[in-house]
Amino acid sequence: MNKNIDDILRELVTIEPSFAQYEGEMRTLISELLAKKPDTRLDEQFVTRLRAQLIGRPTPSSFSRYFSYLPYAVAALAVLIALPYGAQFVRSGSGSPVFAMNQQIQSLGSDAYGTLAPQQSEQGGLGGNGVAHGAFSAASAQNETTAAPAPTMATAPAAGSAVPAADTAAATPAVAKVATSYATTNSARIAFPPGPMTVYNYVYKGDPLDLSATGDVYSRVTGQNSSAQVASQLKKFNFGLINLSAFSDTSVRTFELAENKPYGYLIDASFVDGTISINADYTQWPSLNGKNSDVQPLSMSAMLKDDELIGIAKQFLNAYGVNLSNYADPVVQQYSEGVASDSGTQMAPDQITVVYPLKISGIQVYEDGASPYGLQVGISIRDKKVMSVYGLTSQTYTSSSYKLETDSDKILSVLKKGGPNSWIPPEDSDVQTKNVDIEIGTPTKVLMHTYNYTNGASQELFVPALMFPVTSTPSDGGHYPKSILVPLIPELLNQAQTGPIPYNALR
Amino acid sequence: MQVLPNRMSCVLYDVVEHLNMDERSAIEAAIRGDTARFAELYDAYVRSIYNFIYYKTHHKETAEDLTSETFFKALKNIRQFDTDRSFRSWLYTVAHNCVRDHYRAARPASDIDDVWNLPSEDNMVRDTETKLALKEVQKHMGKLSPIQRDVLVLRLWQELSHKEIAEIIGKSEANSKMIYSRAIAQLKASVPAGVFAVLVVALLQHV
Repeated sequence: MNKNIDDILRELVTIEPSFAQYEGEMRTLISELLAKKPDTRLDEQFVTRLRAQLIGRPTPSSFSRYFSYLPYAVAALAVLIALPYGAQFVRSGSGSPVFAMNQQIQSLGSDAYGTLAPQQSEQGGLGGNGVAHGAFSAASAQNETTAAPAPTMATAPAAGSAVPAADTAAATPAVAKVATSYATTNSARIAFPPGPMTVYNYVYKGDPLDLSATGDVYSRVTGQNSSAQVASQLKKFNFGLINLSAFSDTSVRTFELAENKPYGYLIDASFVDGTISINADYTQWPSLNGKNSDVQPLSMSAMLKDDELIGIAKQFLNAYGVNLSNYADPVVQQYSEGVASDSGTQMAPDQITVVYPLKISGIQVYEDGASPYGLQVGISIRDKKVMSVYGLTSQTYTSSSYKLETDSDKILSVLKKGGPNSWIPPEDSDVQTKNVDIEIGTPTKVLMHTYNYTNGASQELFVPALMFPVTSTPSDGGHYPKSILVPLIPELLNQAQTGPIPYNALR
Repeated sequence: MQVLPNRMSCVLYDVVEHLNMDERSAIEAAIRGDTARFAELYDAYVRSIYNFIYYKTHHKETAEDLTSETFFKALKNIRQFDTDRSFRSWLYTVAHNCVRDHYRAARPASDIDDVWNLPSEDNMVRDTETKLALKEVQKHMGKLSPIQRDVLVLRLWQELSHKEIAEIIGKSEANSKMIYSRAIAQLKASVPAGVFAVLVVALLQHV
């Protein structure tokens, strides 16, 4: 304490030299003031409690608090795990997370993401994301595998499915095979099966639409997790092949952890995208590694019930501490039964996906094909284990207010055709059509997952939309959507396809 | 393998050296709405803010309430924080305002900034032990201006630099030093030497 008093006195004399002549009194005074410093009796339980109230989590242990000052601390620990010597230093995964689990939304000004009009890709895609989400390709693929009773051309996405790009591409040649001799549109040559094409009219039977003039568009914040610090630590290790420390301005963008045990997983994290995905390490899974020659196709009797699938998913996510507070109740994604080539018997799929639909600000998110968007948990039917997890993303968003479509007639006219991405032949087309009505009920307000392309880069967006439930369908054995999604952003709504069939989308 | 612990310790040591740089990163993330990163700021400052408030209230429960209020306000308003400023100073300013509002709400007719303004017989609740310990000091501290008290507390009890104090009180560093020296001079002039003689004897027993 004397040293402290000496320092204080020295400073005071520097400020006010006349104090020097009263050194004794000054020393006494300073001593008194220091001695009277109250014991504030800080209660560490209060610190923990307040932290939990503020952040929603308990105070980390003293060890992890040591790390919690670092923005990339957990990442550093993860890298240390990956390195052979690191495990002894790791006690838990507590501390501040690298990826925000608790949903955070920062409000921006209006129209912050620019114009949201979809832009035609070079492939002539219908959606804004360069993938033909349109009903034609989706329905074609679905119809091809399910042998629909009559040649149809649904003008809406297949039931509950958002068709991945690969599926769309796979369906295209099948459609194109018959492209030589049937009816064509005015300007683009495309084939249709013989007979009239069934065109579905989605007839609205619900209550008057409840429309707002503006609504929030959300964008997930990415790119904030790149880790220069982790890279700087990695570079300290002697990798032998090269001197990593010679590289400058480096950061870690991704890393992969592997579980070296039977039924182990590969865990891939992207700091850039703020995502973590999990996949079965096929070398550790007997049913996947090709060493087991007895692996037979699964019969339908092996199929698990929905509650069993959801139970497996739930148990896995709980075991690995996945925070589900931003997701709605899980649903089992629709699947198609296969047919064994040799016996002609029906086969169960090897993997079924359970989807935990994402909620942003409490509003559920859907793909533009009306299937739920969110955390996808793939379950191996053969092993009754989770074999993949996708869509585990950091939950930091920005939001921006946009004008929404308020003209009910315009919305219902797009609905009538099955959504903005659906196509029906123009009236002056020489395509023969047969109209079938499908009844639609009162919609709910949801968000639609989409992408906005600006300056050559894509931005993931979630825009206000209406989800219209299908309330009655024809009993002809065809596949029909359970619901139709109509975006409320005028530019996206107005992309509704008209005119010649968008042939380019099918390439 | 034997060198491993040292090697890893070096790694960890280097990681910790990024603390200052990381505060800025945490602030920017918190401004973007990442409350998880706000936790890092909370962990860094909750103790000093609580102490600062306690020094101005002398009551544990009140200090806890006002500390809570300070951090909730900080979290709510962090987007208004000017990243060119010191975050610590901003947080102290929020805490200072919370304390002042607390006393002004309790004593609307008085212009009270903190517990030092209160007469010792005031019935506003205080921790007994602290009240007794500060009985002699209180009447002298009460004669200082609120800003003089703040500077004294921040410099002597919280050991902040004058640069940091200057940011908190909204004055220049030179002004902070001047306020500090004048407060000391004022105390020296007002406190009877006999009081200190007794205190010094007691103090020396603890040094």
